[in-house]
Amino acid sequence: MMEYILIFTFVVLALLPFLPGLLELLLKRDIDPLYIKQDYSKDPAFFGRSFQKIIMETSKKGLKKISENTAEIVLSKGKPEKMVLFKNKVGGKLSDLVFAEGSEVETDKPLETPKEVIIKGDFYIQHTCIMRSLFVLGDLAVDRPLITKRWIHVEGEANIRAPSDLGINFYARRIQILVSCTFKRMFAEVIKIGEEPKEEDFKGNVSYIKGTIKSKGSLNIRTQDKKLVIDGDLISDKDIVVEGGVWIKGSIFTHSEAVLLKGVIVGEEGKVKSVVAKKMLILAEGVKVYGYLHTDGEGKVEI
Amino acid sequence: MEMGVLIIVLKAYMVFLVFLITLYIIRHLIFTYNRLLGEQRISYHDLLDSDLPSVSILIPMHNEERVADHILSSLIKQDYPKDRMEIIPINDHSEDRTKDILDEYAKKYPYIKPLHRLGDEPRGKPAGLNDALKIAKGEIIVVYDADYVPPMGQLRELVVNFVDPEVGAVMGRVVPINTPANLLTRLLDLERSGGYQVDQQARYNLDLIPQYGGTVGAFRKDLVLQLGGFDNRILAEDTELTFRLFLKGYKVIYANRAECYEEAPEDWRARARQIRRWSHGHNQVLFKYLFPLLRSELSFWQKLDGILLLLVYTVPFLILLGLVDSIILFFLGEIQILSSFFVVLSVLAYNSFGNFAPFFQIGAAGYLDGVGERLRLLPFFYFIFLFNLWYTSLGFLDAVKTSITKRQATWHKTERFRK
Repeated sequence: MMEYILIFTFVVLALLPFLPGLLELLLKRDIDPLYIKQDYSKDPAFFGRSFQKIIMETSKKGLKKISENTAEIVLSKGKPEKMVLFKNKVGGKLSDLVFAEGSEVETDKPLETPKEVIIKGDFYIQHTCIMRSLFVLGDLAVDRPLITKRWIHVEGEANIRAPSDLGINFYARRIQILVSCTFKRMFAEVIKIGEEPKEEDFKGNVSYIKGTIKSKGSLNIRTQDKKLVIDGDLISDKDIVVEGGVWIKGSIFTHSEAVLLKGVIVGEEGKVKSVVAKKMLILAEGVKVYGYLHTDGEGKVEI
Repeated sequence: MEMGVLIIVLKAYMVFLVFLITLYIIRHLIFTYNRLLGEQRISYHDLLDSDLPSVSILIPMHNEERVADHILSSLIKQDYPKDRMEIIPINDHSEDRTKDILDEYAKKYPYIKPLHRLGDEPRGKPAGLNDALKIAKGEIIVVYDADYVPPMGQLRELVVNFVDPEVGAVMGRVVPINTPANLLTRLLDLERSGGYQVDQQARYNLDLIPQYGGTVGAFRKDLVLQLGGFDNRILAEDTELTFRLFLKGYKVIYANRAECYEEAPEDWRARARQIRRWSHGHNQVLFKYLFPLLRSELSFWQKLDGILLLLVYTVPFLILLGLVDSIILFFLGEIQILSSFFVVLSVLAYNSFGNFAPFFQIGAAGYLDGVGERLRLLPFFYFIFLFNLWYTSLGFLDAVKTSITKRQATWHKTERFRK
C-alpha cells in the first residue's frame, strides 16, 4: 500500500509544475500574438496629424454643442469629452479641452488646462500657458512661458521668445527659439537657435572633410578662424561637442550626450537630417538644424 | 587497468560538460541581468534622413503560393521611396502557383522584378541569393523569408542603420503571427521572445556578436560581393555572414524595434526538419570559422561569445553524450563524481538547455514584452529540451557527414501552414 501512495505522490509532484500551463492551454487567456502595429511609419508629426484627423472628422459631422460656449468631441478613447469654445481670446483655469476658432487668437489671461488646446488660426501667447498638448493650424508666437506636457503641433511657423517646456514632441514647419527651453524631440524644415549661422559664410578659407566620422570615444570638433565643412555624418559612442564655424551636412548620432555650440549648422536646406543624443542634447545660441532633434534624456536650449 | 582509464575518461567528460554548461548559464544570466538592469544600446532607428540609400528586397521562395501574396502586399505598402527600392522575389524551382502570383504582381508594380530559377540551377537559399545579388541594383540588400509580414515602416528602420560605416548587417526581431495555433507555436513564441528581446539585445548592448538571422535583416551588397557571395554548400548562410563580417572588422546591429511577423511551424515534424537544418548549417559554420575566429583580432569577450555562439547547436549533442556517459557510470557504480554539487549543476544545466533561451531569459523577455499568463507554459519546455536534444544532435551528425564527404547538403524548405 505504501508503495502505491509513494508512486501516486511522485506522479502528482512530477506533474504539478505542468498544472498552471495545462490550465492556460485550456483557458487560452494569453494567446494573442505579440502586437506589432502594421501601419507604423516614423512620422515626427504623428501626434498632431492623428489629432488633426480626429478634429477634421468631428468638423465634418459638425460640433455637437452642449451650450453656447461648450461642445462635445470624441477622441481616441471613444468617450465624448467636453470642449470649451473661444473666438479670438483664450484664457482661464479650465479642466476641459480648449478650442479657439478665430483666425488670430491670443491669450487675454493665463491659460491652464490638463487637456489639449486647439487653435484654428495663428496663436499669440502673451500670458503663461500650461496645457497637455497644443495644436495650432496657423503660426505660433510665444512671449510668455508655455509649459506643455505632451506635444505641440504647429502647421505654420513657431517663434519661441519666452522660456518654455516644449513637451516630448514639438513639430512646426519652421522653428525659431530665442530663449532657454527644454524639449525631447523637435522637427521642422529648419530649427534656428538665436542668431543663425549662415551657409554663405562657408566660402573661401574652408577646410573640407568628405565622409562620415565615427569615434568610439568622445568627439570634440572646435574651429577658431578657419571654417570646417563635414560632408558626412558624425557618430560616437561617447559625447559629441561641436563648436565654431562647423557645417555638418549629414546627421549626428551619439549613445551619450551632444552639445552644439555657436556657429554650428547641421544638414542642408531642403533635406532632413537628425541630431540624436540618447542621454542629453544641448543647443546653444547660434545653431541651425535642418530636420530633427531627438533625445531620450534631457533636451535643452541654453541661451 | 583499462577499466580504470575508461572510468577516468568518462568522469573527465562529465566534469568538462558541467563546466561548459555552467559557462553557458553564466553567459545567459549576464544577458538577462543586462537586459533588465543594464544600460540599453539603441540602434540608429531614431535618425530621420531624407537621403536614403537604394534598396533591393530579396525574398527566396519555393512553393510559396500560400504566403506570396501576403508578403508582396505588405512590401508595396512600405513608406520607403519607391524610386529607391526594388523587390526581387526569387522563385526557386516552384511547382505550385508561385510563378503566376509573382508575374501578376510584376505586371502591376514595375519595381517588382521576379527572378525565376528553373532547370538545372542548384536549389536552396544561398544559391538563390547569389543569383539575385548579380541583378540587384540596390546598395543595401534586405532579405525576408516568404512567410513574413513586414509592417509599413520597416525598411526605413532597417536601412537607416547603414549610416554607420562599421555596420555590415542589421537584424530585426522575429515575432510569430500564428501563436494561438497550438502548444508548439505558443512555445516557439516564447522561445523567440527570449532569443530576441533578451539574447540578441544584450549581445548588442555588450558589444559582443549579435547574429544576422537571414530574414528581417539587411546587409551591404558590395561588401557581401567582395566576400565572394554566399557559400552554396552551407545551409546557415546567415550565421556564416555574421562571422565573415565580424572577421572582416564589420559589425552586426540588432534593431529590436524592427519587429516582423513570421509563421512558426505548426507541426512537430516540420519543426524537427527546421531545427535539424539549422543545426546542420550552424555546425558547418562552426567547422569553417572556429579557428579563424580564434586567430582573429576580435576582443577576448567577442571571441568567447563567438565560440559559445558557434557551439550552440553542438552542445545538445555533447549533452546527449553526457547522458549516455552518466548511464554507463551509473551501472559501473561510479556516478558519484561531484556529489550533490553536481546534481545542482545538472538541474541548472537542464534549465539552461531546455531550449534556445533558458527559462529565466524567457521570463525576462515576457516581463519586457508585458505578457502574462503565457509564461505558465514554461515547464513544457522540458519536452522541447528532449526534442531539441535529439534533432539538433542529428543535425550535428549531418554536418559531420557533409564535411567529411564534401557532398552538397540538401535544402529542406519549412512547410507553410497559412490558410
